[in-house]
Amino acid sequence: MFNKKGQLSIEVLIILIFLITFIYVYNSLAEQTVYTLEINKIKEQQQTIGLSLNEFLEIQKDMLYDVNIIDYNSSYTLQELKIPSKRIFCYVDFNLSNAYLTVHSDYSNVHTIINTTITNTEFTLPERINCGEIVVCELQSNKIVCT
Amino acid sequence: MIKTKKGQLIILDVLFSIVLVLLAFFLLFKLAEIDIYKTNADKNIEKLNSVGTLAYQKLLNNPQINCSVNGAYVPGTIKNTEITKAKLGIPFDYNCSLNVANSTECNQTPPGTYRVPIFSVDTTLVGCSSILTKEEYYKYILAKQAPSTQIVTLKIWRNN
Repeated sequence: MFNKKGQLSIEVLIILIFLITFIYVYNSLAEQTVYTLEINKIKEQQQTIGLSLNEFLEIQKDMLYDVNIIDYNSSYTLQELKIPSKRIFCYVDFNLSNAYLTVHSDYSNVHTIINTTITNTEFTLPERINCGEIVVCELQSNKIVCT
Repeated sequence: MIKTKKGQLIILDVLFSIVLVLLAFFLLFKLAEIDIYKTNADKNIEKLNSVGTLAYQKLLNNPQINCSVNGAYVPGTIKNTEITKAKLGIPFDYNCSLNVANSTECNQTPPGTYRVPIFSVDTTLVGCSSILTKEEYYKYILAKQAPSTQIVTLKIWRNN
């Protein structure tokens, strides 16, 4: 065990163990890093989707209070959620009684909540809007109805 | 354990390299942590800017706030009505400050600490009771005699 040949075997063994550990740790770290980066990217895009939809709806609200406008419609295309490797399915749903909207995604249940000031008395909104879909809002008897 | 000089030297080399690789890992972790922190801070700033820009837009262009001339609403005018957070599209998790008389909800004192980012914008608004006369409107448009002009500062920040 302690002769030169033996020493060489132990050294090679140590180096092999080290290399295997290194590759394993590096691989795990790389996977975790990619996962974290993807989640960050998704959260960032979800926020952009939620904020832009909120902005669109907030602007529609002004039509309710403009007495000159009796017939009005406007449309907005929700952007899609993409990461470099694939496109992620996502949708937006609304909770107008508690004044917030949620952008959901099909990726580890990552979602983003955006608080709003839009209410049930001013808006009729669909239960959910999928990313990439077109939202059409119309002024109908003192209410903005979006489909 | 390994008694030869050569053996000790090689083992020490391996140990040094392990320590160096571990240090490199820790450095990488720290860099990744800083990057994630920066991304989150940027997201909060982006959200604040979005809320602020929308509020500023709705302050200038809003039938609930603007004065009207023959039924047409004039951007950049402000009638004697209450200005609420809902009228400016500011959600409940944000606070605001607006130095006009009727902003009962937007009368918070902005935080003094530099750690809380604040969206701030100055603009000139024209006050009126509720309706501008044509004469007042022309004066306003031609900037000959703007009726009761006031410089308004809108500040928005996130609740802690």
